[in-house]
Amino acid sequence: MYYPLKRNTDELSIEEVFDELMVFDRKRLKVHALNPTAVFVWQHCDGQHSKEDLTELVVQQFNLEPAQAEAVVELSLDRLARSFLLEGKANQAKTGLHRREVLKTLGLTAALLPVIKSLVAPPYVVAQSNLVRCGPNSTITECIQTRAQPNDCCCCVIPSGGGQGGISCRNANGCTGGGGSFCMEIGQTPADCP
Amino acid sequence: MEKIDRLGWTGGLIFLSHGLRIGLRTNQPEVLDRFLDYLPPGWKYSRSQSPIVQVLYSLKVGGEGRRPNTRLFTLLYYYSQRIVRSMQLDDVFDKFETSMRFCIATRAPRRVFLHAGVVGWRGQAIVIPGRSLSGKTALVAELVKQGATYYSDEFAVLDTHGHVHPFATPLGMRDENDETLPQQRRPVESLGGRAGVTSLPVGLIVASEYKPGGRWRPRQLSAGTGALTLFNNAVSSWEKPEAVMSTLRKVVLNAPVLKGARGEAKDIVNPILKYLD
Repeated sequence: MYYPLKRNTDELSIEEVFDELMVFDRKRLKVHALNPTAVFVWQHCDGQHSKEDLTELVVQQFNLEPAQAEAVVELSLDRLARSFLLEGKANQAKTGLHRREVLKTLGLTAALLPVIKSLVAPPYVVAQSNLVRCGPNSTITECIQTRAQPNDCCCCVIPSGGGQGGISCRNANGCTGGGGSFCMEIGQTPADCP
Repeated sequence: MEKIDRLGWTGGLIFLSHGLRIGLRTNQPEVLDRFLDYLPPGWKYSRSQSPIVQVLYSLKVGGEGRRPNTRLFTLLYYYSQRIVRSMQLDDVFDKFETSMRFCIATRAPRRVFLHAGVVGWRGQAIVIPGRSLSGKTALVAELVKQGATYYSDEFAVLDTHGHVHPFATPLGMRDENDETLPQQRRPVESLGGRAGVTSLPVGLIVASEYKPGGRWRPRQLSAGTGALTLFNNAVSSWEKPEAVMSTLRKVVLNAPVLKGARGEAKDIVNPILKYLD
């Protein structure tokens, strides 16, 4: 039995926008917009509800047939897993279901299908990139933009693959530490490094 | 930084812009007056005598060297980092302006900067988010010609209530026949318009992109998708995502987001203004 669990919210910043959600993933520097269906399923992914329980909840919430609700849940979990918004191995939730397939075979309206739109948080690219140099007082954008090396300054780098990933702070003296929220502070200086 | 501190600075100024205290020092105080033209709109001299600043630029003006037939480069530093090395002072000023605007946009406290054009109409702001070459300046210019108040063609400066503040720089107009040519600065008055001075609530967001022959048939985005569209143009989304999302939420709760391709700017001015009439 699979009990989906939503990602640890320490790594996510969440903002409600009407009945939708904006979710910023500090680890992957991605932002997602979840529509109401995706929000409903995600909010019930608490590790206590199985797929079957979620289907039952969707039946009640959206007044759907069980087969339709099951497809909605499958599709939601698939999209949430692909967006790294669920804990555990994403393969458990991935189904390979397609929206078009579900719409066609189950006669659902498109508005009821889960939608997650995502984008990578944009690095603000100044056309003349040499105008911004990574220095002891650089912000994360300046550091990333200039592809600064970890020891160049007190800056934030995104390690490629493996490990904890995400962001860490370092300075010329080699001190490291912090994490997402620390790095997000503006105007950090070497003295700010832990 | 200590090495740079020893370069012999003889003059400087400290000014305030969007909550930041910015210092500028030079070895030739007579060039400071020329800098004033390149400071951000709405800047003020700092009344405080404190030498402590949050951002520091240092300009070492070159010119004739000590030996005959030698010339020295003019150097501009951002903190201890050299960002410009040029024989042309105008070139240095231009790059100083770009660097400083970017710096303010990423560091200003309690402000969220979006890459967008902004005009005011009937007490509300129309925000036109878009990157360079998306045609937002052309649309802003057409709206101003139709009587809208000019706020910015570069940044929408949002406060924590989601209101837009003016950032009224001269419009950077490109040559219609050759977009690769550098932009020409045109004061808004040359278009028959005027610049806004007070903050405005956002009434409409127009996410349009110029496509030759395009027809304006916008669709209204949901609030969440609209906020995502704005987030994509936020300057400081990596530094302060929570503040950006919170501000954008307030904006999209009150203002519809229209998205679509458009043709010539003048063709969509009336439909846009009618939206707020």
